[in-house]
Amino acid sequence: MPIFEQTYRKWEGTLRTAGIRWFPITKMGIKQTFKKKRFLLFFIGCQVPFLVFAIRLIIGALVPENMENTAEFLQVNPSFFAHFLWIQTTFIFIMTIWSGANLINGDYQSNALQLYLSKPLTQLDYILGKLSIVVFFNLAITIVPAILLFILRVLIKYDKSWFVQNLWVIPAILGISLAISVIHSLFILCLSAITTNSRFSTITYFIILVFTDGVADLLYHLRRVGALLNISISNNIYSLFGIFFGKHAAKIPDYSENMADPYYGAAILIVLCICCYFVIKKRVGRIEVIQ
Amino acid sequence: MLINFENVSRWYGEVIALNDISINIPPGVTGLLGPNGAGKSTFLNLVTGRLKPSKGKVRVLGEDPRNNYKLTRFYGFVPEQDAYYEKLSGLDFMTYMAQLHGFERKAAKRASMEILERHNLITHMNKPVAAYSKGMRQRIKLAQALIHDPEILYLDEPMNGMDPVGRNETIDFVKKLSSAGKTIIVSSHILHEVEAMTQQIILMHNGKILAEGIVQEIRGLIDEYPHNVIIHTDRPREMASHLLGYDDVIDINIDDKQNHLKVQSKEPEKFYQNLVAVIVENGFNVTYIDSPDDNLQSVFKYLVK
Amino acid sequence: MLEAVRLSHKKQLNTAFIIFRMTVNNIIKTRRTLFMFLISSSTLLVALLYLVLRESDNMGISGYAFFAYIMGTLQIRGILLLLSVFYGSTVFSDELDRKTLVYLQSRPVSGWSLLLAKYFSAFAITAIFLVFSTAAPYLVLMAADSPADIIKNLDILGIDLLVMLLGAAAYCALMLMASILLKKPVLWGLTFTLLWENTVVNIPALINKFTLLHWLQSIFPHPAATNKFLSLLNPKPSSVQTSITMLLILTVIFILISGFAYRKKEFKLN
Repeated sequence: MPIFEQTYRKWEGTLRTAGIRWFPITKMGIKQTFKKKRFLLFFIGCQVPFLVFAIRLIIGALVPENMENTAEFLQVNPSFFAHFLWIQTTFIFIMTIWSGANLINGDYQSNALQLYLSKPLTQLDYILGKLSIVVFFNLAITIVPAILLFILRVLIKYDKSWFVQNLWVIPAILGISLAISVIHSLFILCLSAITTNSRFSTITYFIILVFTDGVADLLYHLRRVGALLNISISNNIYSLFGIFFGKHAAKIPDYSENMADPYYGAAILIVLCICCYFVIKKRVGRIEVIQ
Repeated sequence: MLINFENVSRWYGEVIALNDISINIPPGVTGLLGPNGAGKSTFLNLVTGRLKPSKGKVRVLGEDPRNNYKLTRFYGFVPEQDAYYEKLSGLDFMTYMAQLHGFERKAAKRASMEILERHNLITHMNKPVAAYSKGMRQRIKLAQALIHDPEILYLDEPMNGMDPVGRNETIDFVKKLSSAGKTIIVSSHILHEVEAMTQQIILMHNGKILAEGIVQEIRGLIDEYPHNVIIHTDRPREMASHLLGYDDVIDINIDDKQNHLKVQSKEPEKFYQNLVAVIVENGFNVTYIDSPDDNLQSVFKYLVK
Repeated sequence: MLEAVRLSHKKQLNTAFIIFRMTVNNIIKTRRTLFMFLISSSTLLVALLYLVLRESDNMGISGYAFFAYIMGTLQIRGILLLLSVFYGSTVFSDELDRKTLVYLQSRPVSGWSLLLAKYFSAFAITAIFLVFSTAAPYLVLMAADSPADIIKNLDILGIDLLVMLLGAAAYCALMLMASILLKKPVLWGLTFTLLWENTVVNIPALINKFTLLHWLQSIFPHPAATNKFLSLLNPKPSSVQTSITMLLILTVIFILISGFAYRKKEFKLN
């Protein structure tokens, strides 16, 4: 039997990168975030609306079919899912900040950016890795509970006509959740890349959302032109409900039918996302070695 | 005694950072030594009042340092961390620190310039501290601790990031301060640097004090571990035969090729006296004598075994 | 010379003033302050836009009404909250992030002097921005109706400024307390102000008194904007005297808690 030398042994296998190069960044980011107890509590708290809607759904499903005056409140239709997702967008604000405000500026402060980019990772890999962390958490409180509600409805009271009529809701849920998650995530990452102070990126995120809302409201109050409401990033995000849920979005409290065409709002958001991406790329690209 | 710890323990949750420490620190330079995690930073945090002990009492100049801002007039603290106000120039930073000690504005500025000159920072005084090199930032940290001419100085890893020239300058500076009557506690994990500053040390490990006192005295007290002495001579075998006659000599290893012998003795003081006698009586030509054990490193190694 | 300096050491008030001045100087020099200035100028920009649009169109809304609308939407529910949350937490948290608190703690500076200096520097900066963002659109919009309205409605401006200053005082004190007690004070501050306060203030029960916004809105001379559903609840405001007293008491309580928490808390070096 051979006796091995007790020294460092060189790896003689083949060095393989992960299938998705940036996945380790995402995995580590998610693990680190979940380690924080308060975040875990908050994450669980974000699922409370799911419980409320699930109970509402169960009660609605148990109500006899021949009851003509079934409260609208208990009806499970596309508006039900749209309403649930609208409520979750409130939590997305806090979730985005908690999981994303310190992602890039934390790497600036600890000089970790140089470590990342000295590995076989491109700038795009780094950005995708970081972006995926925030998108993951946002989707975890939107897509996952919404799809579970849909499945729950089907399981509790299978009705083929209801299922066929509402099958389009699944891609709508996927689409709106992904869209809102990506928009918020890119935005917070952009702010995190611009400043080394996570408090400032947090407050700027809120300032821009609150202010564009306030200014849009004021200007609309002046001129009553729908396009002015598109100044508000929040309004544009809510208008996406109009694209994915159509007429069923009208019941959402923050959805304004006074706005211009929802596709106009979507176009503004796409431009915003592209700008955010380029800002992040530029900031990540110039690694500050010595100031 | 200037600083007194009486049965002091400090824990963070389940981790004991300091474990039942009782010590009196006298005037002069004292080296606080130990590896990372030994409890040195906790010790300094307690002595500066930033932490309070979980058990026991800490006294500095007879008073509890916790929430005792009046005591801060008597000590200066050089933190380990690289801490600075980015937008302030060296002069502005020093003036601010001096003003907080009660200097009036003009006097603060004057005192700041004097001390910056003493620390070779006068030519950079109008540059922001953020633009200073690591060594310069260390020097300005030292300067801010000395601006009010304190009686006691706490230095937490003062030579971190310094080049060899900077290190030597700091060692000389500490010795000068000591001869001016200051009490200095230097915390470090680099044993030979502290040894260059002082012989009075406190050795810490895992929250406990392993030993305190003069290096050689501590070494002398470690009876279980024999003292190694390397002697380079023209006739190693002959010398070995003479030395074996003494009862304090435990072991001798001879290297004919290198012309030296390594002697293990359990009583180093006695051994050196006998060695001198052997050399003189037999006319040995001795090129050098070295003791690899006569330093902090070996003392520490023995104590943690 | 050193002895002479020691003997002339001034009282803690002087030390507090030194810290106050240095903190304000440090804040003013940052790029963030420029950004905050732009934010607080948004009321003026909107007012100027009103002027421009008013020339080209027959506006159904008077300058005074639009000023009231700006105050109710952008100012009390936006600028006041965000500036106070940011500066209230930054003044102390910056010392922790930069690790420079150790320099202040190893100087003869009492905890109270330090905290009061920090508090007043946050309040001063926030107040300056708020006065600007209130007075500037006021002048523009009153002049748009009639220059005489500037004098005629000075009492309204006075009350608006009082609300802003009381709000700044209370929120800055709250955020200072949060920055000492909590690890993410801005996040908690925003959650409290934008979620809790904006929702609970509309509930017509005792619970709405657990918001600073209730007391501010009770003094505020303009209707504050709110969600169209929540506004149906129509809670009753408190009296002006009670509101002013409560705001001052709450400010003092927050500062006291900050002081006691600072003394108890251990800010150790890692």
